Amino acid sequence: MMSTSVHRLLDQAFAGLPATPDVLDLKEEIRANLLDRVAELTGGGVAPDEAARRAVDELGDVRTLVEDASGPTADAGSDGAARIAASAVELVARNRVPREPSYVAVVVLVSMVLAASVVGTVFAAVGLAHRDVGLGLPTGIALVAGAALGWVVGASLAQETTTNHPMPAGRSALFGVGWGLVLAGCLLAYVHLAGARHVWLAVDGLALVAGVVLLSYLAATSTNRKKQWALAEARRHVEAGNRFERDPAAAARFGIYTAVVWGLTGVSALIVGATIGWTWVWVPGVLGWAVFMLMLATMLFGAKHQDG
Amino acid sequence: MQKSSGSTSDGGADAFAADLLRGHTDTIVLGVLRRRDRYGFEIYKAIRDATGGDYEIKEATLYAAYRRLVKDGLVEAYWGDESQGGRRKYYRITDAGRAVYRRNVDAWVATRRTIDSLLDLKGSR
Repeated sequence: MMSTSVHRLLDQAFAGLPATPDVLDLKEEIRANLLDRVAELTGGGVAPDEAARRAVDELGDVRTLVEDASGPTADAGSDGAARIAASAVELVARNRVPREPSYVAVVVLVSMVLAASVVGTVFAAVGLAHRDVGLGLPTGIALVAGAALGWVVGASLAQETTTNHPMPAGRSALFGVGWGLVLAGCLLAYVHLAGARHVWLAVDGLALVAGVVLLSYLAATSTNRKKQWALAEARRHVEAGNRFERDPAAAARFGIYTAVVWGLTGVSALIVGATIGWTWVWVPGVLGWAVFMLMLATMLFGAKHQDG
Repeated sequence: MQKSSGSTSDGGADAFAADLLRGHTDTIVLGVLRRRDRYGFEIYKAIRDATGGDYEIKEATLYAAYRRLVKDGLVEAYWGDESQGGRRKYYRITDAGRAVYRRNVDAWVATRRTIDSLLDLKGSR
């Protein structure tokens, strides 16, 4: 009884509005919230019909929301790719976040430690295989490598960049731990294989699996870090940059050219293989790929004058 | 009951406070979502309870805020899996949302200090 009243009032509030997916989505969202509000009011002793009326009244004007929602699509698109590229440069310049010099210096330092300790682990493992050193040395160096990689990853994610907000400290630390575990697990497995200490491989495998599980969890729960201007920029690129959607003839031409380019590439690969030798087969492949990418670039993003 | 500037009546003071609140709707919503995901009515209730029911932010204002926040990538929306009644649309704060929230809170703290000293509140307390 009470709910029919809410549904009717909601229909009235949305009457005359275009039934776009966006508007219907908003309507369904509002419906669930209204039902909760009505339940709250009737729980407080308000008559069902009165509760429904009051809940819808409290909502305010729905129309302003919908106009707000359909506004931005109208003025987007139809911009030339060149203009967008120019304004993108300007936007990047305006939103530029310079790197902190101290961060850069420390990252360079830690990266050197990382590189040195990876190489050092390999040498120490060889030493272990020849019984020149004990197990402690390569293990220690491998752990340093893992810690160094973890630090670089964590510190980098926690940095604000031109297009990204910083990741929260705890989360970036977990990312660092994950990558550190993966690297340390791999290096230690190498050490234990080289030194024939196979019992330890179980521990290495455990570290590796723990790292991968942690990283998978983080990837699955990741959320947006892009800044507003970067998101808006990406949206504009999608709207204005896709020439093939607006110009089917260009898409058809592109399809024919693609077939020709790869057909010729295949034939020349066969000829090169049969005459010069099969070790050189990759050369036509690379050339064909380069031609294809050039064609894609000019056809998808260039040629503004052809649009009219 | 005249404390600071003389001409504001009680109704005027209410409108002043409501205006101030409305100006921070986005940040307030981000703050409500910081602990866990919530859907529209929960957010509305959290804000109403926090203000002691004195000032409320209109629901239409909140819906507009959700749309803006989603568009800017500060929150993400997803539908719940309720089987009966209407399905609820939940909002989750993103890393970008947390960063913006922290920045806005810092800005607010700094502004509050400035306004307090401009209004010379230290002396009157």
